[in-house]
Amino acid sequence: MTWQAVARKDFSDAIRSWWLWGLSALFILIFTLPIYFIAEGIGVGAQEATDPEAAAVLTSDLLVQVLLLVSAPFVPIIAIVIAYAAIAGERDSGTLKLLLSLPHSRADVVAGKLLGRGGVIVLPILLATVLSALVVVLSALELRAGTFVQFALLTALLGVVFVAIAVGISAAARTGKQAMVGTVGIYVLFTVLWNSFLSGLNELLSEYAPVGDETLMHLQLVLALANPVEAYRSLVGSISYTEAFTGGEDPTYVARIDALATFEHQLLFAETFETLPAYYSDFAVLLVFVSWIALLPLVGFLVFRDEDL
Amino acid sequence: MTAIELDSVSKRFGSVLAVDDLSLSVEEGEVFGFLGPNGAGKTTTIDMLLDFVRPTEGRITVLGHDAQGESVAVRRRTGVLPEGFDVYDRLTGRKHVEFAIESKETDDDPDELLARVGLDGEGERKAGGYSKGMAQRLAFAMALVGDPDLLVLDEPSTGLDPNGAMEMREIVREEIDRGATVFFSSHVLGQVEAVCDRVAILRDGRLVALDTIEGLRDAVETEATLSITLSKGSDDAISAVRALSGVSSVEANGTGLRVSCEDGVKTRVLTTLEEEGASVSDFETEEASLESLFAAYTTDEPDRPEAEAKP
Repeated sequence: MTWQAVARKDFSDAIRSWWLWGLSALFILIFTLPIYFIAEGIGVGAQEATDPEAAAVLTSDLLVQVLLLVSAPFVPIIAIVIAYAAIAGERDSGTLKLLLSLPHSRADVVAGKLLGRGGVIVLPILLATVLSALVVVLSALELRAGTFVQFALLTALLGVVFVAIAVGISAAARTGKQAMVGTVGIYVLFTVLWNSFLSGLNELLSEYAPVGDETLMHLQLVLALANPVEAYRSLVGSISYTEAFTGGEDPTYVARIDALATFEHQLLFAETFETLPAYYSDFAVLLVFVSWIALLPLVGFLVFRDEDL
Repeated sequence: MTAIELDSVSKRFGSVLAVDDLSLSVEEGEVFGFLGPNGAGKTTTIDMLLDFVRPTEGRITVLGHDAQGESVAVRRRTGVLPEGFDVYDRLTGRKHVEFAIESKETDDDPDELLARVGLDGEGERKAGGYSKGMAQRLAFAMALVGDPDLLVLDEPSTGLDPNGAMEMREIVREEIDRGATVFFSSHVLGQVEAVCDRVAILRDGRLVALDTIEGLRDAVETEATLSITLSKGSDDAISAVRALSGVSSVEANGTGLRVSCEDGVKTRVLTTLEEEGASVSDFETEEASLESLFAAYTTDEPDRPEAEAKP
């Protein structure tokens, strides 16, 4: 087992990527500069609010929902850029021959790449959220550190999930170009096409399949949360919604309902469940979210294992 | 003990049969030259030793391990200089060697290895700025990590100037003296002639010769080529020469004549020509060399000598 050696080597290689720091600089910039003004606005709003209910909504948790608008589309892009060529790129250039001349198994290579590049993506994310928190501290807004820490961890996890997806595709691809097409395809699928896919599926099933509305609603929710970007949104919603924001409802319950695309299904969910069932709890969603880290690298490894270089 | 054993190994890429029923074995401590023109299947064979590529048929054992099932164990004891590789542009030379040391779990000194391959003082530079020759030296330093029992070198002099190639041969000799088995490929005979115990010649994926350098030399030294210029030609004379025993071929070209024959019948060729009415104005003997044999094996000359492949 030499995956630690591969991971260390890969980390020091990928951390020197100009692309990583170029994109990260932009990400950090968005996470700090405009956020200061938004935080200032929310903070001043909270101080000047005469309605105590309105004041209760205007917290740094609300700011996390603003940050989510940036991180959900942006973090996967950084992850893909630093990881899509992890293995396929080495195949193209010939460094893979140098790597596999040493006593590494192909499993070591996939695991080492996952760990190395996963470590790399965590750095700019933690840096960005720490700087963002610092900006909040400097503004008129009071920082709720607990939510920020949870948000930072979930965002780092989103980065690692997309690194894992990219590494898996990279292991299975014959060339760097194939890996790029594959990872960009997955990105577009999860961030742009997923909702159309779900609504199309819903129409098809309600038209032709003899299943009840409740089953369809469950299917929609399960498939929505199977999308790692959607799962991330729902988890961040769960930690950052305050009861003031949800009007007294359980924040996790509301966050799950938000994952449903249609108003009909949202209503049906509310009618069906008084409280959130365990299989839609944060723990369950987190489990599915995290399983992406194993899934594609495993598939990629199985293809890579049987391929000639 | 046997270091490398190939048993009826074939490799097919789509419709191309890159390696065709190849069997050979390399003993421990042996220096084995793997020769053939580009595209003969040398790299494919080496790639199969290292499990970069899987044989379509046959079985390969390296250092007592199955080359496919126990490839990591093979590579733990093998130093490899692959062909068509590249270095990590963003990492320094020293980092490369450190990575090899970490991967092989040995305690070599990276600076010592860099100095050994002639890269002293270059270790802190990023390998992306290295020349092809320097990259070759760097990979060689990585191959030497952990005093491997087997060195597999695919076209080791690629990108090296003659001086660099000589230095590399010197290190290979040191490794041989240490007791390492060396398996290396080349498309140039001159690089292997001086160091190899045995050579195999590969052509179109098939083994066409397998012998010691001495054995190959013996096989060729019985043949000589006479280049004769005639001042007066005669068809009868040429026919008479062709009929001589010990003459394998005669090419007539105007007043020029090329006769391939056994070393001992050269004089008889000349006297026969004169006796049958031709006049010899000049002649020259071409020494048959290992190079010409190699060229004969690996190019499409019609009069390729018949040598037995003895696996």
